[in-house]
Amino acid sequence: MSGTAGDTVSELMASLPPELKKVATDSHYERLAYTHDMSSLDGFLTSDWLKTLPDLVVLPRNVQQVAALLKWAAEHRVPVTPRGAGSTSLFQSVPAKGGVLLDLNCLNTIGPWNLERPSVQVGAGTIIYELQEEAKKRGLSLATFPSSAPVGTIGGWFNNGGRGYGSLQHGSLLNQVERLEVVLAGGEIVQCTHQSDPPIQWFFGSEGTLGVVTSLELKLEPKPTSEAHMAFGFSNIGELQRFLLKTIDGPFLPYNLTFVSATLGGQPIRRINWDAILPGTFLAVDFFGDADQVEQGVQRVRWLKLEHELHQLPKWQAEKFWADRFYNFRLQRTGPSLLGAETLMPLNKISSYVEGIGALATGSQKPMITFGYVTSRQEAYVTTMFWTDEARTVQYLLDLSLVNSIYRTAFKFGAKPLGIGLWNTPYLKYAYSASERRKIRERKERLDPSGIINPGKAHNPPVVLKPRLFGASMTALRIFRKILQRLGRVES
Amino acid sequence: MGVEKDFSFGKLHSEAFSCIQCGYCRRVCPVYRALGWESTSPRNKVYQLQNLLSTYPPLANLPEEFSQRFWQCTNCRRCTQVCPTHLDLMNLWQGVKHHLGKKGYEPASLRSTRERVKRNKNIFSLANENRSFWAMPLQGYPKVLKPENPDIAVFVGCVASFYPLVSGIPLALANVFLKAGVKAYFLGADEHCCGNPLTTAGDLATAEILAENNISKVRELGVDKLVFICPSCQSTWLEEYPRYNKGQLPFRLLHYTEYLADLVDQGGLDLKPYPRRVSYHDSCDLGRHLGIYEAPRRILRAIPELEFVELANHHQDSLCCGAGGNLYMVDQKLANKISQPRLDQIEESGIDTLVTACAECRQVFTLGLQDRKSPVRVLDIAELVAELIREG
Repeated sequence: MSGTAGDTVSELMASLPPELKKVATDSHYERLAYTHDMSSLDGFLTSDWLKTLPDLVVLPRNVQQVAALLKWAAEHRVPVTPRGAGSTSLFQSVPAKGGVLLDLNCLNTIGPWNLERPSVQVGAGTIIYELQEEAKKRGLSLATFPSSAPVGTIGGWFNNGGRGYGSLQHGSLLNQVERLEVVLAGGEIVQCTHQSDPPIQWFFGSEGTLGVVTSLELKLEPKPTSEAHMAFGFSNIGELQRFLLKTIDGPFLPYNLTFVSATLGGQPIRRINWDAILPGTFLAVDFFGDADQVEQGVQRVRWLKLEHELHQLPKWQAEKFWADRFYNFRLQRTGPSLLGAETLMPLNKISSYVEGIGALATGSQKPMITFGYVTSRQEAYVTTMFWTDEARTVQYLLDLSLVNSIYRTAFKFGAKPLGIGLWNTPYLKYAYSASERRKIRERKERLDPSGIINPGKAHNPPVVLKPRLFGASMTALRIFRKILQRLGRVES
Repeated sequence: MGVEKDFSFGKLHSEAFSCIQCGYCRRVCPVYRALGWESTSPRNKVYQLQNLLSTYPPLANLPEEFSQRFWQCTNCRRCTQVCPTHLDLMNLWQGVKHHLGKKGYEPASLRSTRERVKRNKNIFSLANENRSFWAMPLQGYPKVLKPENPDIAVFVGCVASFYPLVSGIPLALANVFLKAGVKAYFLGADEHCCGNPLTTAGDLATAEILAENNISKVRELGVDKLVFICPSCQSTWLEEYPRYNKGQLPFRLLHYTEYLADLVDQGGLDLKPYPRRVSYHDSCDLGRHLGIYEAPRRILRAIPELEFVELANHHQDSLCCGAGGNLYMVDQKLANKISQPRLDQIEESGIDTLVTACAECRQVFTLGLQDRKSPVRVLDIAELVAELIREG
């Protein structure tokens, strides 16, 4: 874990304004806690070329402390990496260049509420699940929420593109945000709207590289009074895609559509360990709304089911699958470890992609599981995972080349990586067009010309993550893996 | 003798590396929520453990904070409850504390508690012969505590035996049993500490000696039920004692609320009305650990005119009082901080009376509400029943 020498750390601590010293620490043990996220790559890949160990950790209690910190950081030219729950896996909120780790979890106030509009003001560190629970008490609901709601913060979710359950009906979180409080590099506190300069949109999905989001005003929906859950089994992914496209071809959209494909050579992969016993390829359809809306949706899907002669799974399985919506991580228990890739995939390419993954799984002798949920009429948030063992370093390193292969398969079908952070910087051109990349660079130049906020990510990656060098390394690993596989030295 | 749980480095390694670092445990961990630093979260404890288990020898050169953070735990089991990969985090914490204790990395307060237990057979600096001083106001004391041919034996636990603020609990229960005609045998000086502070710190040899005494004293009575006041003692008996006994114990282990609830159902308790708004606090040990949620509620519902309301978090989602896992002993300030959200809920609920079934919770809430000058009355269920029971 590369870091700054002890003396320098002490000097930095000493130079903090008194009001920040109370909420800061230079404890090595504390700083270690922020050198990773869900990703486990840090152990052997992050050493000299990355400075993941922050020099200080600051845990502000209010926006004034955030502003004071950014003012101090600008004066001392110290990098600042903002962090919510740290529940992503691309190092979006892990320092790449040391400096200050700004832990925003204590900015977790909920309210005031406006029950007429209805809307609520929340601190960026508010846990999404808790916000939803508070909204429910008032007869309200978030329009959308992520599968990581029990841990994710609202600020973190906003910074990472805010898609989730309900996005099919309501769009991304961007549609729900009416006002945003941001602290800019230098310490200026700005209130943004969709029309302001800079506007809310600039910060949405910016992964904490343009400013520190401290509070959001969110539009809310009435709490649904009715819900229904259905699930269908399919013999192949092509059938599933055809049915899926039919269900969204009309004025009424379900609240959510989740699909799973966990087959290898047509046989279901049983190790996926879903609590409900489900077939290898299935689609869950969820409805929320008032009783009439839900009934209309159910009737329409029932009609489609008859038309497609589908096998409908028992109601309890569909309900159990929805009840477990926050627990995709249970896959880990079948581990020992998991690796994978998350992308935004055009809906009409899901079938081709899954078939491509099937070929990859067969060729690499690695069972793979693909699942995702539909986020718009055009796209789905798709995750593909496979099992590995991070305790076996060589095997794990070779398996990393398969992550690259999954991404390459996805890009072939027009998918975009879901998030950039540090590890996806080689795929930047797939995430954004050339003009989008230029615009993002211009915004960074304007809002953070000294590169204080979350440096070393996206547009300025370390050398080993420059696309050419990274691509060559992955090709080498892939070839090496294939050779070892032929020699029977790679485990599935 | 084979009393070791599997706390081998191999087992700890396999559990620790099954953690995906998702952080679901952060939201529910009372210590993390009170302190806010990532290092206090269960997720980080596992992360640091992964690092220290990857060195050779494992768990060598432990940073002081590592040990400190592991002891800052109330054993509330919320982390285990929400873990999406179903890690038995409680077992992991216990395993790490076992190694920490063996290496001498334990808080001074726990070390001195262990020494007191070895010396006095209880967690206090008091002679064990005084275990039944709480019963002095009982008519017929001390003979009344040791009936011939008892129906049940009662294990009071150190806290309720010696701590003045909660010594009314065994007194109340003894009165209830007398009025209900139950021949309850209180072990008194024959009762030794259940061994929880010792097993927690890895001193299984001494814990075994205490356990053997306790098992033999109850066995001598020939009863088929051992009734507990302290859920933590009951957990220790349930989890640890069958191994010391080399098999199942020859009597049932019951919490006193279960026994009283059965008496209520059988019409064995005639209770006066209590026209108040009352709520019940599910303790971590009695609820999440022992799974006893309904027995206390059955008793309360049997009280005429009592208006029962649930607190905002109840049953398996109940909040920790802050005192569990010996934290009150290790870091009282932190324990008090942890209790604040629950105290807020109690005050916001609009109740007159809060009822508990754990001496430690009773103690924390009594002091916490006194500090807030709250009018809410705090009672153990045994105390409430003793107040309302009519002569049989």
